[in-house]
Amino acid sequence: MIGQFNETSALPKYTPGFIILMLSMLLNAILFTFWTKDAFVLGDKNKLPADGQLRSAECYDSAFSSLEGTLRMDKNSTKSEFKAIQIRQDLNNKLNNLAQLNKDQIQVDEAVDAKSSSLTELDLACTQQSENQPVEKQAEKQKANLQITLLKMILKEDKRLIKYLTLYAVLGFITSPIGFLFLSIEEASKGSSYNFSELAGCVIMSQAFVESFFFFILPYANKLMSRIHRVMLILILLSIRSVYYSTFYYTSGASLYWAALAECAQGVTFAVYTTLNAELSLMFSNLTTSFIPRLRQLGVIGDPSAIGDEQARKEEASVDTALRASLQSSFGTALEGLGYGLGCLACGLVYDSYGHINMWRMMAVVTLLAFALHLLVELSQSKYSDLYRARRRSLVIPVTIVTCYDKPELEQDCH
Amino acid sequence: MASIVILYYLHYILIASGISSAFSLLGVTIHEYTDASQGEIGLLLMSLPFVITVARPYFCYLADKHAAHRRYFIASLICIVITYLPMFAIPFFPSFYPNHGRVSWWIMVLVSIVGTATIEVALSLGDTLAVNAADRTNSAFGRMRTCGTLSWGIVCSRIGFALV
Repeated sequence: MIGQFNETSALPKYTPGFIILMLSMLLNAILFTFWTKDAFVLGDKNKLPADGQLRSAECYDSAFSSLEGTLRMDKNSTKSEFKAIQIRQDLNNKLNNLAQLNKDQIQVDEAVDAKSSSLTELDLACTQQSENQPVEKQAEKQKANLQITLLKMILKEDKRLIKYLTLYAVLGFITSPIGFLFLSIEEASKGSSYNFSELAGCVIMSQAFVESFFFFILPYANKLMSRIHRVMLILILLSIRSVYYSTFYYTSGASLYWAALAECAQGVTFAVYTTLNAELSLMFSNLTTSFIPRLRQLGVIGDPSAIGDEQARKEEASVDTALRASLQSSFGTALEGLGYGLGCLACGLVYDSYGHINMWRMMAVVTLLAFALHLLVELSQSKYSDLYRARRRSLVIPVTIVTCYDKPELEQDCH
Repeated sequence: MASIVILYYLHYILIASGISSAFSLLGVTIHEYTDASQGEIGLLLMSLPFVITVARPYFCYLADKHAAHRRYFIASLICIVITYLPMFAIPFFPSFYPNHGRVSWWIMVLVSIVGTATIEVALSLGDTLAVNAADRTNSAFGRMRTCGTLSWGIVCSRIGFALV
């Protein structure tokens, strides 16, 4: 059975794999070209907030996983946002009244003295126009780079984006030794009775089965575990795996097939961080709708009274979907690009110089450090934490982290 | 609503089966049809994550900027097909690659770099569309993704047995 395709087909070696690639991509492209357009709509216009209102003013995201994002302001700052808008509108009205009074006064002066050298209405308008020009240019620039403007706003308001990007880079670093695992198993199985191909096959199959199983049950499991619990789970599993490989696996004389059990950790980890990636990218990209009033103030998007309701809704919808793909790719880039690339480099260097056991020791140290750092960030309830409290900044005892199943009482906690 | 979800199940089955068959054979194909050493192949495979770091966020940013996720996704799928054509075609010229091993190697390098970048962009854009569809239809993204993993495992293992 092995190699049967090569013996029976007239195709050169390995080409059927690329035939499968090209055919599957073509078929996928055909499906996406001719499927109903309803399947590709991003965002939902019915979910956008009504004009002038901010998104729901929860002071922090709930401990349960949620695909709805909220801006992490406490209730008082939400009120102050409204106040700021009102104050701004009042000031504008007063300035307009003053300008009108000035205009009247100027007309009276002109009527009295035809050779008056005071500012004419045209000069006033030109002055105002030249003062407005830098503001208008900035608004146009921000409109042209809407994605970057919104990303800066999100980074300013919700520091968790930095935390999760760093976490994904570290996870990419920690999960990079998978290729070196097979190298080290091959080294260990040389001169022994183990068949490397069977061993490698067992390891891959256990990973794939556990991964599939966890992808299937995660929608239920996510209702019981918060994001903090899920990150703790994967860091604990990865540290157990690294410690096992660096201590007992190669030295205790036990069967090398135990790697199949250890790699179940990799399967669980992959399932958890892939679904977490999807959830986080949607959560952060949904925050953009909370910035709509601020964007109106800056002139990046138009007011419904100036440009009409339909145009305003279109601009709001574009803000809603402005960062969907960018954030989805950012976590994947941190994981598979930066983290994985640096991890492979580091693992290769250590493997060549100090051997595979020291490589696993390095990974164990990095994983345990990442776990400790994550716990510290969450316990401190800083702005990087999922348990950020704007007012109460006290140390939380570990029990709260472990048993935070209760949905927060928003009315009581937002003080 | 069911039709939206079915599309993304099919999407993950197809994309995972395609990528698993290509990625698992990339190294051995380059070794078979070029005169590159193991070190050179290792250097190429090592540089691919850094190519992903640059290409993936940039093209996803462009897709967001033009609000054309579906078009960018279809374009990236077609780019994958065009990019991997040389890697598919070179083995059919048994007089070419033994005599022009270096040229064959540089073609494979270009194909690997551009192909990997387009595959990762396609994966990201596909995930974006799938996650948003799951959100709108209140269905589970994990179930869609399960199809990808199962498809990857089945195709990868069959390819390994049938071709090696």
